[in-house]
Amino acid sequence: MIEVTLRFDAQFRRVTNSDERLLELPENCSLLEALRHSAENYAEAFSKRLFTSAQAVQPTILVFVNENMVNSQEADQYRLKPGDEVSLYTPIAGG
Amino acid sequence: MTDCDLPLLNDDERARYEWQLWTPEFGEEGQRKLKAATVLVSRVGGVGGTVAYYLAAAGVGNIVLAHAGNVKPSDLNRQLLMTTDWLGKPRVESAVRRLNELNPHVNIVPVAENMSDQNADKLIREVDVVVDAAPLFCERFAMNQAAVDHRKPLIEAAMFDFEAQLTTIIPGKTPCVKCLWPENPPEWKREFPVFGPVSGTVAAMAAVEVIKLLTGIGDLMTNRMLRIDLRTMKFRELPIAKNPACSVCGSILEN
Ligand SMILES: [Zn+2]
Repeated sequence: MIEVTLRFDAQFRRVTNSDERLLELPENCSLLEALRHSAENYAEAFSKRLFTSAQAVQPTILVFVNENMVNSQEADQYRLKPGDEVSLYTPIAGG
Repeated sequence: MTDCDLPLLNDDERARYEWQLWTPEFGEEGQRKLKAATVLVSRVGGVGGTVAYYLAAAGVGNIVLAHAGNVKPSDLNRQLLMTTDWLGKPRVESAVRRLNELNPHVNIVPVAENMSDQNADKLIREVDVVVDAAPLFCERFAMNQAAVDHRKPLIEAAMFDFEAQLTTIIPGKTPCVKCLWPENPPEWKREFPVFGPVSGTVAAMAAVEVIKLLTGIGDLMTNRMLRIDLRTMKFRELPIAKNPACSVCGSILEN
């Protein structure tokens, strides 16, 4: 198993009631698998915000692993390593 | 614009800008560059109004303000260009009045409209820099399209709750709005939680970006995004990249 930290921004905090979560994942787990796994811990509103109806990552969510932006459409090919930090940023436009 | 084409400063202006003229790499030439410039700010709420206030104070010569609607009581916790005595009257008029009171040397051009596909091309074609502080992605997309079409720099400032983000777009050289958010986010709502100092923080940073862009000072927030959380005072600088398949800027060649 590997441990990966998942970090939330303010809009995600509203549906998870937490700033971050430590995920225990199988070795060689993909980013998409990790996100789907994390969704099991939260209410439906979390999945609705993060995934499309086809269970892909919403294209308007910015996903970073450590300092690397990962194209949300390639989350199924991105392999996580022990200690990785995944940050999810929802689109914001407050002016 | 060559040095001798830049407008001259008068004594009132030299006195007003004295303390910023002390900045070594700025000087009188930098001030004249600001005086020559035209910047569009949309809208002039908690973020855009504060950007406009700082740009007017700094002596940006021409500031175009785009914002529809009348002043409401709920604007007043953050929209520093709106005042209680202007409730029910046009926001953009309140903004012009306040900016003229602050600095009569700058030319404020009010447009009582929000940005859209109908007006963005016409307004953005005429300016040097655009500051995007609109609360809806459709307005941001309209500005982005026109900014890319006319190769105008676009400062992207946004906030939500105690968080804010900032990036500077140079069409062809950096990601554009659509590279990052390729479609209208279904969950985003125009109403958002906001304290004035949070919108004001990102606004002040956006105004600094405009001054740097116009004068060539420093390093712009290009190809990176600042994401700040004032609840924890954590600032993150995140690298961002163009999307080669972007529907707006994907076909522009870097030059
Ligand atoms: Zn683009």
